[in-house]
Amino acid sequence: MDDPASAPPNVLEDVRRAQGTGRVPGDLVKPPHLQDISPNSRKAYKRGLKLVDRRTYAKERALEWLFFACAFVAVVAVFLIFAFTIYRAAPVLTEIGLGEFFGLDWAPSEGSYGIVALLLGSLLVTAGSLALGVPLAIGCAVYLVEIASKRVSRVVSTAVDLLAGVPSVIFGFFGLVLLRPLIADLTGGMGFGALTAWLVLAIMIVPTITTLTMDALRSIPMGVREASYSMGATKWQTIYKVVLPAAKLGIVNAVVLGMGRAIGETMAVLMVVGNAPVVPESISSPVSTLTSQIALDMGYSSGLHRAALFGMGVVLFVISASLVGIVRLVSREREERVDSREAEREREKRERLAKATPVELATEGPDLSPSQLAREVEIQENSRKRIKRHLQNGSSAKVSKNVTNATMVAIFKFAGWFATAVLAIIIAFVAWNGLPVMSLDFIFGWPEGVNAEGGIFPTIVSSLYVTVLAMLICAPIAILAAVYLAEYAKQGRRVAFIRYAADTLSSVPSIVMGLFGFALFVEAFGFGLSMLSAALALALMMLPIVMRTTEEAIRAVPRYIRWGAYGLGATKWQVVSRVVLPSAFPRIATGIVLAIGRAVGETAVVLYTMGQAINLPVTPLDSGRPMTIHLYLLANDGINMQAAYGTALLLMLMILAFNLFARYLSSKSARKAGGK
Amino acid sequence: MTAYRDAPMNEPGQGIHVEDFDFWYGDFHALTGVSLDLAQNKITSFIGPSGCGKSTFLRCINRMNDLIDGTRTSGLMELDGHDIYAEGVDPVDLRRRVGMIFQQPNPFPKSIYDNVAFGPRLQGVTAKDDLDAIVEESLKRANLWKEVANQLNKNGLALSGGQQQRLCIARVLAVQPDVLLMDEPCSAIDPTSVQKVEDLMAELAPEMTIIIVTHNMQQAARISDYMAFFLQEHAGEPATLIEYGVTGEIFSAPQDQRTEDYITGRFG
Repeated sequence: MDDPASAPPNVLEDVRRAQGTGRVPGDLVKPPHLQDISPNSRKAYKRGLKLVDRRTYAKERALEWLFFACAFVAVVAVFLIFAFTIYRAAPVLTEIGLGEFFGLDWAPSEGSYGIVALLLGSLLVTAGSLALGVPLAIGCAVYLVEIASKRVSRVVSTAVDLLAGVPSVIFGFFGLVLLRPLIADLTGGMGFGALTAWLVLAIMIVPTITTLTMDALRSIPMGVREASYSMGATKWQTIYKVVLPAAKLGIVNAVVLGMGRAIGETMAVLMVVGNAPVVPESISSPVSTLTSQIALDMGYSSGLHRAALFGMGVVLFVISASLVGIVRLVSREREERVDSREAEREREKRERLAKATPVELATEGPDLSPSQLAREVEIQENSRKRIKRHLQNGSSAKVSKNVTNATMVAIFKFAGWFATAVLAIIIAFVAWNGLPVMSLDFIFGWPEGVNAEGGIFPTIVSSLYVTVLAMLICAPIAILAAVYLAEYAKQGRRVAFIRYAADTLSSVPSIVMGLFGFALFVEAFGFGLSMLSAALALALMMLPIVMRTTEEAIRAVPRYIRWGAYGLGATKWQVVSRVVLPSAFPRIATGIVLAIGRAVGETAVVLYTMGQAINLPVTPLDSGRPMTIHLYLLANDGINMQAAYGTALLLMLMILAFNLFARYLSSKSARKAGGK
Repeated sequence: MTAYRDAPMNEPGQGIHVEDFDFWYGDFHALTGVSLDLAQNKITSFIGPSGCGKSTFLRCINRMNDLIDGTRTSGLMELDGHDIYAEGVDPVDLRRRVGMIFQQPNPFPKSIYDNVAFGPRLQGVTAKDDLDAIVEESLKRANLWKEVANQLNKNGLALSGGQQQRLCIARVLAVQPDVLLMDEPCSAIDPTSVQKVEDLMAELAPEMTIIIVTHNMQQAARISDYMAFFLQEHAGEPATLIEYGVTGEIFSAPQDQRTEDYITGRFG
């Protein structure tokens, strides 16, 4: 304000009065014509501003509460799972005793319920699979993001994405019929054991870790890489010194999540590990894990034996929940670092503004006398010489940087192609063996006789029935919960708590979810082994996935679109329902389709909630046998491998179809967004 | 045809010499027929409207475009008498001699010290004394030393935008390149910092060849000795060098009508 006269007189007067009364200049002074108006006061109404309509207000509040309730379902679910599993495991404390529960012997028929051998089995299997899978997955991700050409990268990462959706029962099947005989030849023995499980699990966690690591690498700005290259770094130096350190936390997250998947995996392990509940003797002798033992014993157990199984469920739950806790700690550290970085930046900015810049400019300005200038130049030349002299002290590396670079790039390339090749072999293997079985009779026929010859129609119907039912339950709740988290909730402890619950829910091993579903829906609610019980358990499994993708979809809607609607006088619900959700719809649909793909391939959850009898379900209370369990039983009994191959192929095709459809949806919406 | 106005001529085998240079992104022919000598130890600015190929040409000088799939070149681009696109030339070594500053300040997510020591370490400098000396000297040269001397362990990203850009300059100075390419170095930082970076360029010019791409005509006039005007006349056709010569002369009396239209603000 250079010219006081130009300011409105009343404001100026006000400022003067304020200064006269000893108020600190610069305090906010309300213009007098606004001073007596607070929002929603009677006066505001008199001046022609309408108060909030009571009905609209009630409706908005009611909706917000509804959304909150949906979001809270995740918290309730986690609590219920934990409480119910503990409740059913209570005899472990009262009758078996913790001392014996954490003993070595697992022999339910003789009354010993020690789980340490199983726990060791789980740890052995997980550790080995991580040792094999993590380097391969990280190498593969680095190859795809940093080294491969765009086209190769696109094709291979699509394949990796698709393979992340292949159900575990198919990996187990692959391990059982192809890897097990190979390992039997190699080690002499049956081929069941930790080694086979390592290979199968390593293959399974590679897509998960690769995808997440690729996300972490992609989030690093291109400029950082360019800077490194422009300094004369080779590709390997750039990867090793700049990219990987910058992506460290993201990669740790990926590995921990991969670990969660490995430790909670049931079906694939069950099929190859040999299921001998003993302390592992060698890597090629049969062992057992917590998950596989639950799946194996649940069907016939009773009494204390069953309580012990629930106790194992609690142990698994605690392990997976603490892994989620670790991930959250790691990522919070990252967020805090970013926060403090921003705060730092703010501070710098203020300091810079506070400092009288003209003074600085004056000292560094070009007004130097010729003699000063000459001295400056001399100093500079010395500086150049000094830096060059120190640079010359650098020793040339023992191995040429180009050789190192070429070697490392070749290793990454190998990791990339090896992972791709393994995954391609699995698909080719299933397709090759399954195709001859494919026929309309196989798809639409009924299984006949003891060997289940003929078709698999009822299992297809059961699979689709339960999936559709689960989605009908899950999708509305998940979407409304996501609306709450993304649009209504204030970021704070409450939201953090709901997110933590959702993350924990998504990490619950599927066999634990199966146990819980059995205890609550099948037994306590009395739904029996039925589509409904299985669908409810599946819905809980899918809830966090759909919630997360929906929330991301909603957050991806640009803020200015919302502002546009608010600016026209829309209420919050109008903005959400008419602007935000429609814009986010393609991505939400993509998330739902992906979740459907996962639900179709889920085995352990439905194993003890849906039943295993072949039956064509009509009402939600009918039982049935889904394709995944059909495949597991056929492969495990080895009675009709033809049908097993056929079922595996059909299952894989269905899931690939869902995944491709999801990709199509998201690329369509991306194109639409790009075209605008 | 390019109009030359007292354009610099290097001694044979000295500095950057370009003859009839063409560049393609895949099928897209981006640049054609560029011929010029870049004056040694002077500041040359590249100007022109968006998409005129000036940044592309700049990135050809240290082969940064190699990082993009499917790019190719024709013609001659020499540094001190050697064709930098000749078979077997190592772009990595080339980039150690031709440093680059980018539009967006891009410090590594590491400490200030590690940022500056990055280049020397690549060259095998490991002794702490040497590294300390180089870091201090380079930060002093970049006029950043006073501000960060007692917080060298702070993350480079915690600096303000202008400081980040000077950190990037210090990082380049630590390897003492002969040529410094600057791709709109001042478009993402605040005015005070712009002043500092421009002063710095003036100080550095006597010892290294500086080439700057800028959209800011005043800046080009203020700091550059020579100026090159690029233009893509028709969409789909390759861009080329329209006029090249002494900055003052081009501003006072452009030879080409298109140059005049651009610097008087009639398009672009």
